[in-house]
Amino acid sequence: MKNTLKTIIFVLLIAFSGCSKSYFDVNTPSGSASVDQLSMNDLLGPVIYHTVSAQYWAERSFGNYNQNFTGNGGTAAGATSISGTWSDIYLYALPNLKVIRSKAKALNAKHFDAIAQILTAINLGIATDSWENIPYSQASQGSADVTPAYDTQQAIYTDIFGLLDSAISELEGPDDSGFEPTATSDLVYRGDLNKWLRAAYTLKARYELHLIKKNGAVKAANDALTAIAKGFSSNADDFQMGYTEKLINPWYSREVLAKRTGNDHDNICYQLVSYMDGTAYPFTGGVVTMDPRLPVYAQTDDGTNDYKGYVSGGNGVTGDGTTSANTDFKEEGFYTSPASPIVVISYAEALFIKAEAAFLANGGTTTSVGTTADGYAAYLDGIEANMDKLGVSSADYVADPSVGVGAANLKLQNIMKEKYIANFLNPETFVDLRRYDYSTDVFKGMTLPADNATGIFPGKWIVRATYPSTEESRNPDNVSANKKSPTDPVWWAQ
Amino acid sequence: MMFISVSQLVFAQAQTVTGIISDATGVGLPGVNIRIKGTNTGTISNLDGKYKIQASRGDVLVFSFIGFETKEVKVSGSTANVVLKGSVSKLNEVVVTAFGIKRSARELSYSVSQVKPVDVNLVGESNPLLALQGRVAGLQMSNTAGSAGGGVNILIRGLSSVDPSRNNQPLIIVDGLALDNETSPGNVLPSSGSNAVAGGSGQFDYSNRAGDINPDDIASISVLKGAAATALYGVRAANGAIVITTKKGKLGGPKVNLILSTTFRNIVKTPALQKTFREGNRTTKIPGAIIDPNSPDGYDRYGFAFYSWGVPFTDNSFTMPDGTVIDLSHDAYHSPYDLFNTGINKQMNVNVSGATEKFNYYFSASNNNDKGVLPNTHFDKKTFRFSAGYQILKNLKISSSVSYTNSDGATATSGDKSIFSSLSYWSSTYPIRNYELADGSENNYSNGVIDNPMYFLMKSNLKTDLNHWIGNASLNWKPFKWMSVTYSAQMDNYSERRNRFVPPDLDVGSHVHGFIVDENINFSGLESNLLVTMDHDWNKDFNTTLTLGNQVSDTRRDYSMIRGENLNVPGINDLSNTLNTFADKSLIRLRNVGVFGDFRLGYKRKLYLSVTGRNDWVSTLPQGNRSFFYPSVGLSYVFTKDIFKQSNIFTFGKVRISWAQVGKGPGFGLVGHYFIPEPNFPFNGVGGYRSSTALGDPNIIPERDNSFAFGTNLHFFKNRLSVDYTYYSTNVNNQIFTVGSAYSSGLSGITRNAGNYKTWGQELTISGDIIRNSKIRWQAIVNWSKNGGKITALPKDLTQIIFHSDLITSKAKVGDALGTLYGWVFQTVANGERYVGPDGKWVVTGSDNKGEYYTGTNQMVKVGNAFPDFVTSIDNIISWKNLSFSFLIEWKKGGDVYDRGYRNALRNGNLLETEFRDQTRVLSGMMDDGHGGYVQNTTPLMISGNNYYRDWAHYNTAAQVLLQDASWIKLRTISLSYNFTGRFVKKAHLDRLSIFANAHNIILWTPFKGFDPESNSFSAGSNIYGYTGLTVPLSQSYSFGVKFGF
Repeated sequence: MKNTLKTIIFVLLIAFSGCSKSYFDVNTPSGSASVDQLSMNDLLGPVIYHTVSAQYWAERSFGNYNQNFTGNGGTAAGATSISGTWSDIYLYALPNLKVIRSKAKALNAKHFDAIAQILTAINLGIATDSWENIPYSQASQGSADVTPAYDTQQAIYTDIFGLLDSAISELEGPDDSGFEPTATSDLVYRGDLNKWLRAAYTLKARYELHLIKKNGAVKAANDALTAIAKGFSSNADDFQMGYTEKLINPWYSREVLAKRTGNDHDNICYQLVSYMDGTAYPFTGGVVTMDPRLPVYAQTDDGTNDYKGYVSGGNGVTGDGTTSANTDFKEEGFYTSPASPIVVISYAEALFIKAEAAFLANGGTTTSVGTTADGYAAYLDGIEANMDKLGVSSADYVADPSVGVGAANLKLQNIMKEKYIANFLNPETFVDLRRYDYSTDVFKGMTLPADNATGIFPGKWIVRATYPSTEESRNPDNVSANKKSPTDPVWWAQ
Repeated sequence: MMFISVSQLVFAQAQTVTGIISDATGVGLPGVNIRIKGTNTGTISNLDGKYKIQASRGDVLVFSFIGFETKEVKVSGSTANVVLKGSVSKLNEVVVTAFGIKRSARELSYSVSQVKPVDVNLVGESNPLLALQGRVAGLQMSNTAGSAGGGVNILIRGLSSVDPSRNNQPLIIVDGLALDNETSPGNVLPSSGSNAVAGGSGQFDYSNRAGDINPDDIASISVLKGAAATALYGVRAANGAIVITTKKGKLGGPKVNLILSTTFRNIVKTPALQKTFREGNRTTKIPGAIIDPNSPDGYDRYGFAFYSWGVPFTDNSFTMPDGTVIDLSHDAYHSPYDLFNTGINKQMNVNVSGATEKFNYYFSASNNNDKGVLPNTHFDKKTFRFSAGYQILKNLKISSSVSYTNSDGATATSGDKSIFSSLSYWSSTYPIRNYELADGSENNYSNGVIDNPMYFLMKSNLKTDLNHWIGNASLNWKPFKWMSVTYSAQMDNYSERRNRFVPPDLDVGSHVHGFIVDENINFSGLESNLLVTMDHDWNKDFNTTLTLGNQVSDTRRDYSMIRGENLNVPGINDLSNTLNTFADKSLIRLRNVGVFGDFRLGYKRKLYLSVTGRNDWVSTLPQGNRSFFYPSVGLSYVFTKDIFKQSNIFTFGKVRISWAQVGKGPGFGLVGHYFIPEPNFPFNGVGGYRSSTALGDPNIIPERDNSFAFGTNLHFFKNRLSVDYTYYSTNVNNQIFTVGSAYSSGLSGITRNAGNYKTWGQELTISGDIIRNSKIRWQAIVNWSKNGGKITALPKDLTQIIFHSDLITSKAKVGDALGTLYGWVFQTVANGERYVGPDGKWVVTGSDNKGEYYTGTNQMVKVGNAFPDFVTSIDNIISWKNLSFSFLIEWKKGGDVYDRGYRNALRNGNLLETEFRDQTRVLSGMMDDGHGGYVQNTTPLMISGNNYYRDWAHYNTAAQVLLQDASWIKLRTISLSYNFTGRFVKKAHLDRLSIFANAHNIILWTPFKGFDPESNSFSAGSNIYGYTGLTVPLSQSYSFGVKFGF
């Protein structure tokens, strides 16, 4: 019976539908491409975009921990999983970097490979500094491993240095493959490979300096100094990506546009203002009354120069205890305009790395005084570079005795204060705070959010991100083997 | 005589046969279908029940009429008077099965439920499928929301596909051809600033296309449950099928029917709110905003206004920390539910129909005008339908229909950053209807963090404009008495334009300075069916029917979207008013060819065997696995005469048993891996591609459902009482599923064959006449159903299937029932009581493991199930003289839901239960006794917003707080109608005149604390259950109307 049926069925099929095999080949999503159809340059732009986006999502939470800003009305952020960062890195950046690298390998395109390695190192850096142990060696394998095991932070740091060293040697070597990033797809350096090389050295210095507790301050500092010598040489080297009038800067979007229409946005924190308005470090030269960068970052509700930042967790309270906080992000400010860049690592930071490393290599401690001439010069250069970048004059500011303290009087807190200001909206500050255990010797006036005592973690700083819930539910064994309280320090901070 | 005379083909020995058809009481039955068996020749009885037909001696006349047993009479003279038996039991009733094939219920080996809108007063509803609500055992039907024109979600026998991304909607068949019933959620979100799940199925309640049918055009709706019933339809009917038959012109006429009705709708069930405390800071109680008409933004502000944790309304002043005293004497409670209007629905329906012996026609037009319960929302629908049939030759008939629907609507947002999320946070200190300042900008107490829901409604909604055409033609040819060939083809075409407008001052538009989304959806579906039926009576005992067929379905959904962001002039809704535009486009094509055969064998009208087979070719499967075959077999045995002597008590008995298989492919474009254009690009002049995060197993094979069903149908007391029972179970093997993968793998999900699950259930229908005499009839129908399911196997690398992640997560592990909900719970001690920490608080950890959420191995535990324990209903239809009265009560027992608005309102101090505050309470539970044991807790705890209701780690994340029992009992419908028969009806030249009044959902009993728990957070067609809130709540309604016939 069944066979007869089948025969009749087949006859009918042929008779009435007349369909050829290709009739059913309509299952390809419109607009999609196969991997062979794409060049490395087709993939590079989105990778850079998501790398920068990963950093933005991290800072959206960490900037609150760092007390660059507070939530609406002065609120302090609780624990976060920065799931946007996780998605950017693991769904969009790393898998495509892997494709670029395999294409580069096949084409013997060493310089392209180097760029992919640098971008990989940046993504790993953001990830490990946020979550400590993260998947990498087993990650991005697609269906071959859907529950990747995690690598320790120590192993990730080894990977970061390995990637950067390999990128450096490839960039310093020849590449006659003819494949290079183009001025359009390379959203950072427009195809300038020398800048990529200097970026690799600068990043290396940054990560060496993260290890002061692990390698000892002096060794870490000397490693950083070696690398930074070949690092960025001007503001034009800054690793940043500009947004456009169309694809607008997310800080502008959240802090300016939303505020303008009376919607949810953040406020500028008292801690940042106290570093810039003479509260924490009173200006004594009589010329400067305020860091000229403050009006570039922030503005007051009434437009005056009487900046009253929001105390973190203070529900509208400012430094003097009254509920008169009035400071918001600057409308059309340097970092908060539609086409503003997001800076991953800058020349100014390179100089502060040099200043801090020189200070530590010279035997400096969190409370000691004095540094080398080179170190002091780097400190001043860092300030100047940053102020140049922001388009304000640095002469009066560095001349003020509270800033131009002289090499003999320089303390770590001076360097870190300036780095804190220059790295506004950069999650590197969250690393700096943790490297020094939120020491008020280094970060003057840094105190727990005002409502910390009634919160979930009384008396403790939040010092890491939690793993996103998608990861926890889909890779449960590996997450539970690595998950720690948000108040437990990461490996390099222990 | 009222017959229209027609020219007739005269055949040899043909003679005129006349007669009267009447029911058991001798009353003539109008509209009875008379057909010469084996031909298309037929006629219909007139108003007095008289008929006239040309037939030859020896022909068999078949008399069929819905609601009566079909009777066959052999022509032996020129008259044939017939008495039809009312089939109270639906026993021998003709039911419409696959491909519109009519079969006697007697021979079916599976369960079919048929509902006639005539019996069901649908007036005031714009969606015809609601006729089925509460009336079919095993069918779960819910309005996803109470918005005008909103979607209807249908489940037959529970979830048949576990994949959360696939819908479980049955196939909708109208007059034998499939109708696309997809809801297209589209993409209505800005490029930044929304936390909603991409796609936006939680943002609006989209209507489904079955709702485009005019309810008044429907003659009957059959629900085909289970794979055996739908085996011929194949893959697309894997979730069951709803088979709609439309009205046809009946002999005589033209007849005109006019129906006018008006319906009023109200939202009655709302969450109970506290009316004691005003807005104020959650720790300091400082009033954030005091209404001041003289201030430019309408308020005097003293802080961040968001919460309702302030001082009592009875306090007339507040002393600030610095000693300033604020006047609070004008404060008062204002109900946020003032937001709701009375919705009004007006309907006008007219149809003209008639037929001659060769030609029949039916034309209808309707206008349905709905003003929603929410201000500035509406749904207007106009439908036209024309159908006609023409008997070209004695053995050749052509019929065709064209229908057109236009609907335009304006819908409110739900979900993230919507009207309803705002409403759940809204502090009742402020009158919700004062939504605008003098300059037209938003009157907003909370600095924009909570949008004013009224302002939101007035300024921003989703406008839809849909044009839907369906045209079909079918040809029926009977070359021989024993053979019939039917070919039908249909074009189903709709285009929908949607426009979402969000001004910059609404939260969701704030990150992009307002946005406009214009979407265009063009759907065209081609359907072609060929059926060849061969029927033969071998002798008086054996009859066989063989049906062979071919079906082609080819659909194409073309979607394009332009989103404009950054409005130039904030109030103008036009893309040319935007500075940045983004575009997206997609094309979904599905092709399915099936060939099938259905062989039936009948023996002595008591034993029926049915064997079917179908082979499908499906475009969504990989080339090598595209073709698959699946069979079904069914047996039905009427055992009455064999086992019992016909008795007055036991009238009829039948058992049926069936086994069927159905195969199923994945959704569109899921197989393989692609690189896709980066959505945020072009950026700075650069285009870019990236690897898709979705992967589909290139070797995926069809999912197989193996269903077994057993049922019995028993009739007692001369059919006065009947019982129908079904047990079924389905094993789904190699289920196709998009398994969410850890992002660290580089993939967000992999579509593949991932394990097996099983569903089973029981359905029981008991119907009977409580009273039946010549004057009064009270018929009661009880439906009861129970459905279960569990995951029986998962691949080794997959520990669980996640449907939706939230504080209450819908997921299932091996052994878990479908619809299982997991959540965090309060920590307990050995005796099961809650543990109370040294601070006097309970601890939420999610397991017995002591410790905080962030550390340790705490995991969510099983806390409930979204599906009910059982659903039952009783439908009562009482007719007395010209009056008929009916009411339907439905009871859903069990089923848990997480109301997402409830938690918002709890944390913000809006709910009645938060009225208990700023007082101490000793929480029940056990505390440490200091020696490693536990004693009854005695530590007092100050209950406050921050310290209790808002406390994440100790209170409001626990399932005991969040998950609610959503059982309910509803008086679903009560309706009364009166038929005028007096002389004035005739005087007014009317055939019929009736008036009616209906009420829907007017009584609701439920322990649930929010709005009506029947609504679902996800739009129709979504496969996620157990979540409610943040949607337009369901309303109750009252309808009044009048019907004229002339």
